Amino acid sequence: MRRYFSQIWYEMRHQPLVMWISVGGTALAIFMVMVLFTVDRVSFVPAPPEDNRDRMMVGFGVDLHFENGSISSLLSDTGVKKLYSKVKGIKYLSFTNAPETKDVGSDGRIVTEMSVRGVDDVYWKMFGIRFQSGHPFTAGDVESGSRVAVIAMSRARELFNDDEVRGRTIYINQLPYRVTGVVEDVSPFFTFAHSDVWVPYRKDTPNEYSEFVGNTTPLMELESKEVIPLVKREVKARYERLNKKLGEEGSSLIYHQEPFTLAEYIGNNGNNNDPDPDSARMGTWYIYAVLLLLPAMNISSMTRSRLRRRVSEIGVRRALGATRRDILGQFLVENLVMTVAGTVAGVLFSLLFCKLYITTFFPMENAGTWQLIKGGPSFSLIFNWETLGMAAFFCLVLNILSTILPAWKASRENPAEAISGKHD
Amino acid sequence: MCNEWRDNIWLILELVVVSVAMVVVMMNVVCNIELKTRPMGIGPVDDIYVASYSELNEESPGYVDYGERKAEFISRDIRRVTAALRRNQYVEKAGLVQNGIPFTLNYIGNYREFVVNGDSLRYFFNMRQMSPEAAEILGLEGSSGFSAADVKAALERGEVVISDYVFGEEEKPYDVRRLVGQNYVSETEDGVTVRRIGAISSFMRRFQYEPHRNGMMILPVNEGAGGNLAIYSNLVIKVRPGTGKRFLESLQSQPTLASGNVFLKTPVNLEAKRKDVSAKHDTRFNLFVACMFFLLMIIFLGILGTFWFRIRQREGEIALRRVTGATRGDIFRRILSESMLLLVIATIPAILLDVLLLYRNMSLMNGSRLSIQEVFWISGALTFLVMTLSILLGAWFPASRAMRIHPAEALKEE
Repeated sequence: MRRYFSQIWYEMRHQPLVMWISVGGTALAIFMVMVLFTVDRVSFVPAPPEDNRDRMMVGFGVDLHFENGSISSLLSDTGVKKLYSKVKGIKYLSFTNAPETKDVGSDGRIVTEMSVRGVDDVYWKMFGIRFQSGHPFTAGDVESGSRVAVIAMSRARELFNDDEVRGRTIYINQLPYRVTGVVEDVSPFFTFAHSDVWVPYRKDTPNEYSEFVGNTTPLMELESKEVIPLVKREVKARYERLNKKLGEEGSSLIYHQEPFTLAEYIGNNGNNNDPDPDSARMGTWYIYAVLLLLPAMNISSMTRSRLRRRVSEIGVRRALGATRRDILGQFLVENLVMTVAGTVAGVLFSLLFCKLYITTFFPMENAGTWQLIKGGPSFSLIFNWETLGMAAFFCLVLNILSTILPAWKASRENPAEAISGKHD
Repeated sequence: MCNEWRDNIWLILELVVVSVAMVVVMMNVVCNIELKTRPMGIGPVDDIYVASYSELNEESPGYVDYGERKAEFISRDIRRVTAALRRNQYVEKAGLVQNGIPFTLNYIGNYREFVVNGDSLRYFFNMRQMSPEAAEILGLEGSSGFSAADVKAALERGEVVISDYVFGEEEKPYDVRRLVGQNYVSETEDGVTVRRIGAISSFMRRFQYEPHRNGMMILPVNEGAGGNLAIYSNLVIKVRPGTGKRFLESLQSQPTLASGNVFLKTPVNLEAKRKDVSAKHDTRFNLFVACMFFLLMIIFLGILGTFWFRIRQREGEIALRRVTGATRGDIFRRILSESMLLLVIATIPAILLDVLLLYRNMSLMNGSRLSIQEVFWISGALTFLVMTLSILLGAWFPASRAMRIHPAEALKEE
């Protein structure tokens, strides 16, 4: 290995610009790919408080067909119970209402719009949302429809200029709610854990068209991610059983492979569609391929030029007994060292960029909410073993793409011709 | 140059791939820039705030039951709250609107058929309502011969304002001016109202990336005693220049502005709303620009590295040229010409590929009103231009180096 470093050091001294271009080009390519990869993954990599993202599933809604029409809607609590309650493999089933923007104010002072999410007591077990003071509301609060609330710290300060607001009253759509707890702010990167205010889940009132139609979003934490296919199979079987009964009434539930994993949920366009995360993933991989292929062409061209200057050396080494494989291996490893250096620089820059400027590329729904984020995404959200693995993979691909052809060509040099200088 | 044909083929191949990718990216950028820079139909929004009204819930403490006179009392309370807001020291003007705030995606679609001189003119529009003050605050521009003052005056007279809009058949579009003076008839629960169409304004787009373009009709909002004001009205507020922060602080330091069951929510800066509604599109636009920058950097580095190497290998040849009378300028121009020749050679297959893949690809248009041919050729030309710059920049350093080669020293080494 020392020999490789000596050789690289020699080339760096004699061809500094070309070496820096090779390393810089690699760093730029890896930077670009890693930024896109990280932005793409931020919505579903497990990180606190949504540590369970890889084993989390969501009931997107219901697609109900009648003889003369159809309804696409969120589920009702009755529908959730019929489809997801006591399914083997589901550890927690939480009933939630999708977040709504409501007027929130303190006694007679500020009235502003905040995101308010209805959740049950199970929700607090699913997510690692940290309480600064107080406690979540209980199953009893949910059952009785108590006017209690949990509020995010920055929002509590906005309303009261104070962190310790437990026991005080906030007004949500002009109705008084008693604050039972104050939690640390949850970044909007976390689709289900984020909110400004949490209130008890509101049960659905019976719908005139169907008992399945309502305003509930069921969240599920599975025992492990391995049981995902098992849960899908069981839910599909429940759809079939329910449809036998519904068929007699002239209606049917259309199965769209629910419940969804987080990746399926984020990529879905509505509850009339089957999830298709593979197409989106393919598109992303095409972009990665272009982003890696072009720099690889560049580096390959330069590697070829560099190796051309070392033809005599190759001839001597071959004359002294080095096999073609030795020559090929030598150049692959030499280039790998440089690719690794470029990759490390690219990954570090991509992390810094994602930490500071991820919203430049992250598709935000509401820029105002994002202005509240202090310090960008947490480190665990943008860097994990998977990111590291992907960086190593991209590094290897780039190295092979850029070196294999010139190195293979160099290894096939005839020793006599190489020493005499007769070569292409 | 022919001696390095392998390297050159490699470079040409790279340039072809990059230019095809670049044209795709450039088409998106061109369409988005065309959309973003299209007039919004209103003036600057930095010092403009928007606030909405809300009313107490029946279960709220302090709720007053107005019974059947609810609508009347809500109108009265809105007027009182608005008057209190106007007394704020930082407020210059304030006016009421309904579905009239830019940078919100609400759309109340409608159409009316007008018969003018025997022609049946069907005008599709987004229905908005504005007080004359609101139109002035938003800087609603006049159009088709009407000024902003004409627009305000029409609303003051209780007339309807319509926007400029090319409508009718594509081959024979109607002139929107033919509708001025016509009567607009609306039927509500309160009865039939007839209003004259009094002026033409610019079309107020909902957000910067909105490709959709049709008409807009503005009905006047009467803030006076007889006017019926709805709780879903919004208030547009123009504050004194640069006092936005102090204006908000002044509101927060006092009890919420309220009268009866009606209260005013915290105002939001219109510029913040603009950022909000464009956020998703902006990130996509940023991504395209970043890709463009990346592709240009790749070309720059590729040309720089290859030519740097090439110059080192051709030091002897360059020295010989110098000895036989070539000036430094000749050497410099020769290197740049070689790099440009590569681009020209790469451009031919690139154009063929581009035409084959993109010339009819409407999905790249993003709703731009330019034709696909215009977008294609503009993008192609811009791609060629930026690639030329990138290549010249990449070849500049090696060419400068070649220019400085001392003939005697280079030949001695040979």
